[in-house]
Amino acid sequence: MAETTVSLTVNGRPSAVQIDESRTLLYLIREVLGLKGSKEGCGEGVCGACTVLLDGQAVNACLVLAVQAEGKDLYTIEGLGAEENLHPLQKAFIEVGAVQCGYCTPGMIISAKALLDKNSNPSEVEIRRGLSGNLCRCTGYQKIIDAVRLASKDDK
Amino acid sequence: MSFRAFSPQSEFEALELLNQQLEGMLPIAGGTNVLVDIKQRKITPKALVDLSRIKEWKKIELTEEGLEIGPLVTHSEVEASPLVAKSFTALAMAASTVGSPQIRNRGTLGGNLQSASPAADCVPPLLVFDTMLTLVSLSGKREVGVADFFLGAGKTVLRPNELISKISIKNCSNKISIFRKTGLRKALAISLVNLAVSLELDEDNRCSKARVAFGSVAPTPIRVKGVEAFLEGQMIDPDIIKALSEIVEREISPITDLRATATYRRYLAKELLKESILNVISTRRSSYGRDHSEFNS
Ligand SMILES: Cc1cc2nc3c(=O)[nH]c(=O)nc-3n(C[C@H](O)[C@H](O)[C@H](O)COP(=O)(O)OP(=O)(O)OC[C@H]3O[C@@H](n4cnc5c(N)ncnc54)[C@H](O)[C@@H]3O)c2cc1C
Ligand code: FES
Ligand code: FES
Repeated sequence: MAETTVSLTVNGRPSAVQIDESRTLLYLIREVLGLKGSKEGCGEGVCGACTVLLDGQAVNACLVLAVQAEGKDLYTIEGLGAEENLHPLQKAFIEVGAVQCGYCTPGMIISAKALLDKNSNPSEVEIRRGLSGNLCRCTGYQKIIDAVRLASKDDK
Repeated sequence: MSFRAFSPQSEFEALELLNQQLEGMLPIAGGTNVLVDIKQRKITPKALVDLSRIKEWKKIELTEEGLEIGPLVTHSEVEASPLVAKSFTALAMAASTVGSPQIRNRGTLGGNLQSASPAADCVPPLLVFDTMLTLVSLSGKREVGVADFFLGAGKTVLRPNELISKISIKNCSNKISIFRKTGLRKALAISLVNLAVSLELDEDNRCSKARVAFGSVAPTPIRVKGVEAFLEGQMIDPDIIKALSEIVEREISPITDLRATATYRRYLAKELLKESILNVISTRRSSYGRDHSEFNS
């Protein structure tokens, strides 16, 4: 084991953490920073439960080495909005009923944010494509897509 | 799983690390293959050399002869590049079908090549564009054509102290190209068969040069030279499809694995080629610009 320091911005705040070089970014987020919103489903890039923004791009935190995040801007679900001050996506997910067990939700919302940041008025096809790296075993997806569409309207 | 991770800041530093020839040292770019393989214990490297800080490897540049693409360019960047879309449509289309947005944001062309998967989606397009790879080590550079790069599934000519430093594609103005793939679902699907076609056509649709490459029908992606020879000199119209199917049948020898039977792969190969030819014909009839959003809806 070899420890190293990784310096990065976490939800707008500069941070420096000590971490074993063989750890992933997801481990850094959950176990070192203690931010438990991002989830581990498959650990292999398939389910998207671990999706976070790295320099504004949606990535699977389970497939990024912690050291690869050095100097980067990390944005997790915790950066989005607090209970008293919800982000339009969070409000829309509640309003539409797009959350069942909730395991996929943080990843879904981050993927949706990545999409809306680039394209503020996506079509249904574009929403489906934007969320194609996120699996949900509960909802059947339609309500999630409706929520993203609602949030895109609210944003204006 | 415990390993060291080094973060060289330049090509030279990375090559110096590799040149120490430490046992079990492996480069990592986007990590979408390497980290999965480590987690599944298919590989147990002692140290990873993270290439992701090598800035000069992240560019797509227009040169007099064509395009030079850095090995760290991601699938998302290939998909979004107007330079690629304009002259190398098949490559943009292939990149847009890889995995998911998250995988495309991390996975690189260099990693797609060196993984040497028979199903790697960007390889058939690179084959039909007669792409050259620059391989660099501390002792110098060498150039290898993509067709000569692969030795078998998971095997390439890259030496342990070498890295892919450049991907060069030659330009050609009257070329029309297309990529098709079939997987078990639309997103996150490994190709059961994939196909790239690049044709140079004169004004009456006569083909002067043809390149056709399939993935997942052999241990490495392959050009089907019998198909190419048949197409060259032909008028590209729907009448040639039956003959083409017969040649494809003779030229490929896919296997049965857990994803598909050999028979199904043969069927797909013929269908994808038929679709591609019909698509080329209709594109010629309308305009040169095309929309490929349908491939990943
Ligand atoms: C969920 C999922 C879905 C996927 N879907 C697809 C798909 O649809 N189509 C597809 O083609 N692939 C797919 N892949 C595979 C993979 O994402 C791609 O092949 C990707 O391009 C690999 O690039 P990378 O940078 O992540 O490679 P890495 O994992 O970083 O590296 C892969 C290999 O290449 C070597 N390497 C990387 N860069 C260099 C270089 N410059 N010089 C020398 N060696 C180098 C590494 O040492 C390693 O051996 C998928 C993977 C996952 C996890
Ligand atoms: S846990 Fe990262 S994609 Fe499933
Ligand atoms: S709400 Fe349960 S997995 Fe999506």
